[in-house]
Amino acid sequence: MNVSYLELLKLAAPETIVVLTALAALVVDLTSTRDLEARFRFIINGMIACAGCVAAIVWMLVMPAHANALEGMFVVDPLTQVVKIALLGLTLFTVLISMDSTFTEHIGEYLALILLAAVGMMFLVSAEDILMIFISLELTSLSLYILAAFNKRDVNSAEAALKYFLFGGMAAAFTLFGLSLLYGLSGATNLGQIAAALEDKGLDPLLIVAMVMIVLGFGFKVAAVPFHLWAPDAYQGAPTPSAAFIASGSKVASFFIFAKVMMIGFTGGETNGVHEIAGSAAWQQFVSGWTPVVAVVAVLSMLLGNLVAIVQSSVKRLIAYSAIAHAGYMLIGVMAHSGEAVASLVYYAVTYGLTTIGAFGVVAVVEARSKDDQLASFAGLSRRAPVVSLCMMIFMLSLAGIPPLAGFFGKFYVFAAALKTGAPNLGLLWLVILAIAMSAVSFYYYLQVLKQIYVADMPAGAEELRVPVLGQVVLGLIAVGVILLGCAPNLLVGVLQASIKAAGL
Amino acid sequence: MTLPFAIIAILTIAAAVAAMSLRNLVHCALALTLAFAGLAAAFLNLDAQFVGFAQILVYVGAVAILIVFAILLTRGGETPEKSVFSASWAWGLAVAVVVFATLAWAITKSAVVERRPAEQVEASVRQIGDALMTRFVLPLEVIGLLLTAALMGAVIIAMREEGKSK
Repeated sequence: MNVSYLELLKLAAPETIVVLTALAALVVDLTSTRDLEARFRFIINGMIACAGCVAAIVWMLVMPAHANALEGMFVVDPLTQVVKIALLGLTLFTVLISMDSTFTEHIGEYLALILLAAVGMMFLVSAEDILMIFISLELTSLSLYILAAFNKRDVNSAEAALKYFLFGGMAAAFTLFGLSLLYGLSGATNLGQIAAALEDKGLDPLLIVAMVMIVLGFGFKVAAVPFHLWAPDAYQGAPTPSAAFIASGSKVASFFIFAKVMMIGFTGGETNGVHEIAGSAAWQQFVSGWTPVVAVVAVLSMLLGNLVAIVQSSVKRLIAYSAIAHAGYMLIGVMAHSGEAVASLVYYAVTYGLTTIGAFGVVAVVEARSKDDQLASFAGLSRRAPVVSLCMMIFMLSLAGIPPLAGFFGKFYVFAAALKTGAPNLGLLWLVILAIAMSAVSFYYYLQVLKQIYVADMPAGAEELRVPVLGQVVLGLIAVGVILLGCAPNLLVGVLQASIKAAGL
Repeated sequence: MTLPFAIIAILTIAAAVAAMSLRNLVHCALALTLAFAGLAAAFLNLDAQFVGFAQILVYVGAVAILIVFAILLTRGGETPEKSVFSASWAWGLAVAVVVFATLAWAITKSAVVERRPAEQVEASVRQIGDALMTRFVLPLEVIGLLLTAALMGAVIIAMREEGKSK
């Protein structure tokens, strides 16, 4: 088999650019900025990281490619490129909100690990081969474990990272077990070939075991119940920008590949753009195989996430439990498994990621001044930092799903796609009803945060919060993005639908 | 089940159990080495020579020695007084038995068991190298990145933060 390395390098140019940027940030920090003040070091190296992300985005916009290299190891098509651009955008914002932080002296390493995690996510998005999926999943996870442990002055950070690592290692072992069973059953590592090999075999008990294990592994990555136990501790203990990245980028990539594995790998006879008729018996059988498993996980996530979030007093834990609930809503999109559902799922995940980064950015601002992230620390924030408070209001309302913000349209599209897929017998209707009821519950705790910010009295002696201009600009940009994507959802949905059509999913 | 497989399996599982339950950390590490060696023997038994020898070189050779060094350099190898069993070990055992039973049931019921074994293919080191540089070149590169991240992380986490702690 001949491989043109030059072609491969050209296809993987965005990833290469990000890797080189990571190395550049390391080298620059080591050689020239080590003696500067921490704040300047963060700004200089952060700018390098941002430049790399922007360069990779520009490359993908200028050089759209459509290729399937190395038998599905690396698939570049409009859809994966859109998702990669979104991921790089989230990475960019993560870097920007971390610039104000003081938790570490190892700034070059911190930024390099964020970029390496981003590279892992990009490879993950492009993978249609279970070997590549597992390896890039591990690259992402490993970088995120380290990012969670980065605040070495705080024992909570170590605890968060250790919990995340132990749960993650266990989940990775299950995923690998499931994937190797899949390989053993089908004799192929390419998702399309796996589906083709399994098509006429019926539902083997081992296949069910493989499915359950793979769902378990991905369920951990997206923090769905009952694999969610790490999330609240990891979000609370990890440095805030790390938590933001774990909650946003890693979720977008995991959900995308989850949907892809379920849609391509477990759907009968769909090979590289050739659609099988949706009514065939084998297809029904496979769908009946994995949908109930995912449905149970989705219901548990929505119920537990929303109900436990109500009693939280730490804002980071509140966001963590609400993230579990959101994972439940997104799983409905995975279950709908149509082209449209993928578009709605990616839209939901990306807007959710953006909003969460913003919310964590606000938490970071408050945390830097009041040393904790308790709800009480947010009391009267609107009078101490009006701009930041306004941003937080937009993020919280978007997470709660109020029109015209992005969160509303994300939910709307996912639910609409779910109803359309189950149209003849309304199979997913009960899930959608439950999801809408649970969103109503979620209003309570999101508004609880806003009540603290806007209604509660300022603690005596509190003075105006001095928020750096850069921080305000970044949070403002994210807020504008959330409003823009909400008012004109077609900006993203239109592109996604066009690219899904082009990608033939 | 052939006799060599049975011997290797019992040896590996016994060593793994010992690695979890012995009190002296150094003994645990040595038991773990034995488990690694048992796995290598299992691979060789399956005619997967490259994987078997790689297992011996990497795990039995390098990783085991690293673990022993790390234990000796950090703890001095004192043995804990208390039992190393967690209080909820009965639950853990129950869960393990259920999972094992499910897996065993699924494997015996599966149609795969009736499939005749694949033909023996001789995989030379040259072929493996070729495959790594052609079809599997991308996973190889990504593993390189993974190791870079792991190396950086290990240094960062293990490094002593000077002066600034509070």
